[in-house]
Amino acid sequence: MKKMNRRSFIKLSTVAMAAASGTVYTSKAKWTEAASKTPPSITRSFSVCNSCGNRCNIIAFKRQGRLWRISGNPRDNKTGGKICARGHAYAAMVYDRYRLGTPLKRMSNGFEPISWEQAYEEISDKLKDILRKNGPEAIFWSEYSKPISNFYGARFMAALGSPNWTTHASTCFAARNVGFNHTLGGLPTGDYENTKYVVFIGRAPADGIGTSILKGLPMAKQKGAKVVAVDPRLSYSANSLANEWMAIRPGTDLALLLAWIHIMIKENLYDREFVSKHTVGFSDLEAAVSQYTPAWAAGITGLPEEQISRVVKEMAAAKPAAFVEPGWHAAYGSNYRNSTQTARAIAIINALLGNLNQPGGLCFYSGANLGSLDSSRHQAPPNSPYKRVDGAGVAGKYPLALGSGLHHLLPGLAKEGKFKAGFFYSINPARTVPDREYVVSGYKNLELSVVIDWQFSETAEHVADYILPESHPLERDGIVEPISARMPQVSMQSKAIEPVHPGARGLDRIVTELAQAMGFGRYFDFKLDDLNKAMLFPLKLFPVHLQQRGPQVAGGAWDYGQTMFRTPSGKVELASGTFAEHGFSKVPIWESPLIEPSSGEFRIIHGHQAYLTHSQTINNPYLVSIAKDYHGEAIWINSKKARELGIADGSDVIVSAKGYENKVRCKVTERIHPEAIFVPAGYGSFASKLERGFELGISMNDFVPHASEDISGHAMMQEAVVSIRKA
Amino acid sequence: MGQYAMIIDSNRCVSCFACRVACQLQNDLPPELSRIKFTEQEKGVFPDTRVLVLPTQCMHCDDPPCVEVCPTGASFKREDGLVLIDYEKCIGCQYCVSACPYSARSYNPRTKTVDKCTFCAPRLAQGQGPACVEACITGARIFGKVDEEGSPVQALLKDQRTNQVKGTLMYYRVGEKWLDEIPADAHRPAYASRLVTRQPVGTALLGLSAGAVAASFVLTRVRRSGEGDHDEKD
Repeated sequence: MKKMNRRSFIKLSTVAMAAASGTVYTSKAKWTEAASKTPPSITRSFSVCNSCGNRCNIIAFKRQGRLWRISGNPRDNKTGGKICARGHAYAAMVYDRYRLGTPLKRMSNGFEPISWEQAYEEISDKLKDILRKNGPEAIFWSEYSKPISNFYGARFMAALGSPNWTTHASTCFAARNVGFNHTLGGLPTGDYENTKYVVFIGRAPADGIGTSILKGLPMAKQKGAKVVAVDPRLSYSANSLANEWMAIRPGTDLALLLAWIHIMIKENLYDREFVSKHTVGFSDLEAAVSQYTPAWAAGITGLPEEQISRVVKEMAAAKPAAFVEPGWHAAYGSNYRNSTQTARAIAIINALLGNLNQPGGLCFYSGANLGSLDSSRHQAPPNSPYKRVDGAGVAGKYPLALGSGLHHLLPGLAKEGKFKAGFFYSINPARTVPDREYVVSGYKNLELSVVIDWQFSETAEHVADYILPESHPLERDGIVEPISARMPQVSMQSKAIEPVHPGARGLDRIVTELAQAMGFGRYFDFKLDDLNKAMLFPLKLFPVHLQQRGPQVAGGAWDYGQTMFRTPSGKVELASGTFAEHGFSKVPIWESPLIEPSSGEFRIIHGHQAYLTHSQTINNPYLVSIAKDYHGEAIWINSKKARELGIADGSDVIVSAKGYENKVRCKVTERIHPEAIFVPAGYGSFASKLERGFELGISMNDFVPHASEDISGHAMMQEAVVSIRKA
Repeated sequence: MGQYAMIIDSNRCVSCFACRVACQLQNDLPPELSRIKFTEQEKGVFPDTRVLVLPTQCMHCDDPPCVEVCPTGASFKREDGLVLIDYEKCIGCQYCVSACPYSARSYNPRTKTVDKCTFCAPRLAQGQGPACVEACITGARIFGKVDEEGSPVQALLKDQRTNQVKGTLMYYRVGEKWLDEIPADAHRPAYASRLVTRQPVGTALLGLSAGAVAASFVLTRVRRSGEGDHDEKD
């Protein structure tokens, strides 16, 4: 046998890599002849990106059968064919050595690989035991909301009789949705490309990427639209996309919005015809905001009175092609005590602008008219007869909270013994929910915890009893999903490559097999393909059309002008009777943040960077390299405050809050409000198996206490203060 | 044969790094090796603050020092203006890495050769644009041939806010206020440290690259009157 030394191995592997990558233009002659060459064998297939919640359509390029790179799909009406760094880097994870390939069981000395049969048998035995002893209420499902788990996770819980199918909403967008639902009857989308004036309240669409916004907004700006960013921080979005930055004091957006409503009514800047025909509660609103003068708002927000008055007048002059952007997590998705009423105030301003379903305004685009499984052939499980244990939608608890629940409450309920078993799908509460100790120690009380994911996470490493490896999304089909746009489409995550890890399985298969093991197989007597065919049936399409051609048009073009709203009154509810019924103010009124920084303290604010998604991407080699090259983990502090504290740009600081402190690099900048410390999201990994990003930076969740807001029940993730000192 | 030009509109760049990663995957680069680097400069006092984001890469010099110093003739300039490397001749000596005034070259441990931006020459040969241009979400990168009638490149080259980096194929669009910020002695390295506040780890020379870009703005800034001014973003 011929032995290979290190040197020859490297030489060989370099040659092999060149061959695999099909690099043809290596020599001068070859560069010059490039134009006459035929490209190496490259095939492409269509799918949907899973790097975040945007669900952008992508094209996966394979070279000699191996996934090479990913691009956006120009036929996606929402994105126009652009994807972000996370989407491009997604290709790198398919062959990554850190992927999960076999079911794992926690033993006293770490995780041990087991067979799927053993995993199903042990998990189903334990679940049956819990069902018998504690009932289906003691079981929950928690997920980072995705189409595949919206269906399979919810159906699995219904099959078991559990009411506790849960998503990440309460640490993301719960307050926004509750506020908009109870005002406009749903969540509209901005008609970016036709607008003349847009105000972003804390949302930074080029930092927390919104591909559809980044498609439309530059077009509008080209035509002269003005963009205003209201944000305690000059994000990259605010810097490049906005004409004007309103550097507001964190947590006071509601005061600004109330003053804007005040000015619009007092100076008759609102759409009187729309308000009289399509809204209820105007007089209540008018009375409530009479006290909120621009001078009052200036005192609370720290913004100049002139700016407050001028911006709303400019916006009103551009109506109806003007809107206050509905946001996502941003400033009020789940951040402050006043966030739900902040969302209501934003919805109300848009109604006063008369911009709903108008060109350049906010539109309720129609989605595709999709079918469903024939329930006479495939028996659907009945809805659970029980109330949600987390109290969402339950009288006396959180009656107005979203039906997808309050996932940040689950660890505490596990500690109280109300939950005995939990499933975690593609979600990582141990890192993404405030108060690590509360979350991890709470979940450790579960008798059974099952993590389903394609990579490790803090929850997998520190909580899970069993880890079930999911195949990578590019290795399997997903569920048909609608794309809401002026020209609605349907798309489907489609298998792009042969599975790298044959031991990993799709969620549809995992849930179906687990249900069979539990004796509930009758609710899963179909394949994913049958479901997709049923969903596409009304559109006269088949899954193969989406697999082979990418997104398809689904129904006719949407038209402006609709004025029916899905509220109890059928109109825009400037005053909400439902809020009043439950003891909440029927119109937004000023409420300060719950916690105010005292002298020497800072409010801790957070946000996305364009190249990281929550805690999911910290082990992606291409993305974490960006963070490491540019010190993305650095927290931001205002220059003047830094001088006072003797902190130099690029130096380490100690961040501390009650009982916890950690060291991190600091960026000293004029781009942030003196009262705030900005902590980028996605860092502070404490899962040692996420080796590349392990312990890089800090997470705001180590400093934010566990809490819940009253109306929508969200986690109030910016109701926290910290102290900073030189390291 | 007409020369290529790449225009980067820094007013539109949101520093999202989509170009960097798309380039890396397109060109089979390891995660630690990027052909595109970002620098930024902050200006003003809270809350009147703005940031200049300046992505840099190989500028494809008219008279490339990298070609001059290459002992094996691996680095060469093609007729269409592209500076390329013959990887079969490159011995990885890295003289060119030191010679490059823009710090646009790095050593690729995977191939044991020097690496740099090629404007995606293989893609150009197939009638596509560079991967970074295709990937740019906000349309901040514009690419094409200077002699192509009616192309976006040609339109922008006529605009007085488009500034050529002297003696290269790269052009930048920056707000007027940023140009005024750049002093006449900008080519001195001392200036570079002031310009760059966001410097990649282990790339000490990057400050120099941004300084060189800035210097070139000043040296080549040609005021064309009567061709219409454009609104500045802020």
